[in-house]
Amino acid sequence: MHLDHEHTHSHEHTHNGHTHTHEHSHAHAHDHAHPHTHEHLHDHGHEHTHSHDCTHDCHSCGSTCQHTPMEELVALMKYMVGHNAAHAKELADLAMQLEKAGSHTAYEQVMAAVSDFEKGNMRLSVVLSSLDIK
Amino acid sequence: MCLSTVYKNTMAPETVAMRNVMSIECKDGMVILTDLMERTCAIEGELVKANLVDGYVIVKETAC
Repeated sequence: MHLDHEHTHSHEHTHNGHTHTHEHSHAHAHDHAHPHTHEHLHDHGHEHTHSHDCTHDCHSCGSTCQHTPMEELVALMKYMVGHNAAHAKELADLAMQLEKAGSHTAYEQVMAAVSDFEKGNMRLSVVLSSLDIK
Repeated sequence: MCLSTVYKNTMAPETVAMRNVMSIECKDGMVILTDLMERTCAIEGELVKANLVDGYVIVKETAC
């Protein structure tokens, strides 16, 4: 079972010749603990070490925990749509090389596949647009 | 250009350090991961293997 909770802690660190303490909070999604220490890069631009008494991996305790699951899904969808478009272009380039190599039939087949691929990606784009609007 | 899953020491569900990793930087004995949401995770250790076809990376943690 996983429980979402948030905790605030403070820690001291030194940079640019001075030491200060600051507080920040993390939202966690777990319900039991064991101690470990690891280092994080925080979005205020410098690196320091602190300890968490928790079981999560780094991913669930990034320095910017404010993203909702839906925001992450939308970000992943955006990435996938762009990624697919890049792959479609790579396939089209590959088809062109097949054409130059004298395999016209293969060229046509790969370009047909690229077209199908782009149609699928268009469908994903539509889904993404509907998610962005909400 | 694909996103990767980074594992600590061995490739198993319980050793996942970070998913959807888009960049990895090795610096001063640290392996610094950044995911799609631009969260970062620094692991003290070294990069052992990166399989860019299957989208996984293994980082060996420095023993404490």
